[in-house]
Amino acid sequence: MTCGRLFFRIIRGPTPTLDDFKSHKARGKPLLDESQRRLWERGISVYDSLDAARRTAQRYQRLGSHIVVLRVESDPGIEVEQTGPMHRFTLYADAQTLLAIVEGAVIPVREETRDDAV
Amino acid sequence: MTLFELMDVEAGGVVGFYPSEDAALAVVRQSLERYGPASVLPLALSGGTDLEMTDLIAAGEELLKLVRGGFITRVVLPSASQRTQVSGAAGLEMAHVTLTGGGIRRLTGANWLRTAFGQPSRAEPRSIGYSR
Repeated sequence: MTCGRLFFRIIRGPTPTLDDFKSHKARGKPLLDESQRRLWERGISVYDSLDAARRTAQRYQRLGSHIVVLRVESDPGIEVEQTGPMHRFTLYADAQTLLAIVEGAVIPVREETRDDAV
Repeated sequence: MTLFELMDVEAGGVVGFYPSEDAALAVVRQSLERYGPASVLPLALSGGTDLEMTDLIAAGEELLKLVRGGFITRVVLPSASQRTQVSGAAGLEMAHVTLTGGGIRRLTGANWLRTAFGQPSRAEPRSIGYSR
């Protein structure tokens, strides 16, 4: 039986890469807010619903074009924290660990419609 | 709006959530001072509630203009249901803004605010925020 909690992460393209799961620090971004040091150092932003992830990706179109599912088991290497409003979470772990828990097919942000399929 | 989100759209993650727009903009301003404009261009500011972020306030160049010019105009509405329409002419241009209970609408006319409110504009107004 498969268990664990599902989270959704917006990624750049149709194939998940290590960069998609790097913290701001690992990506060479400066620390902008000292009070968010832990998030900057080791966190990535995720959602606990596909709809919430999709709405965010639609609001910030530069964020990415696809969404992946992450299954978080009771793994001591991954810490989960709700760090924002409803559906907004942070996963604290290294990028390799997070890439390893990607599950299933990559989901396009833009839902395919009948017209798109033509 | 009761909660504000600063997002780095390049890195794909949240910089932080803030209880006021001013608090979020202070982080952007500090970033501009410490690290320069390149640190602000990937940022986007949204507003919303504890339930959801709903309104994109400014991003990239627009956000940079906001913190550089210190140009943020607030229209205080007495209630969420009140609907106000203001229009103004700037030279040959006409711009309209409609304020509803929770949204931010983009302006199109240069110098629109100067005409509408009699204020000198240091930067071209591109968006307008309000609080209750």
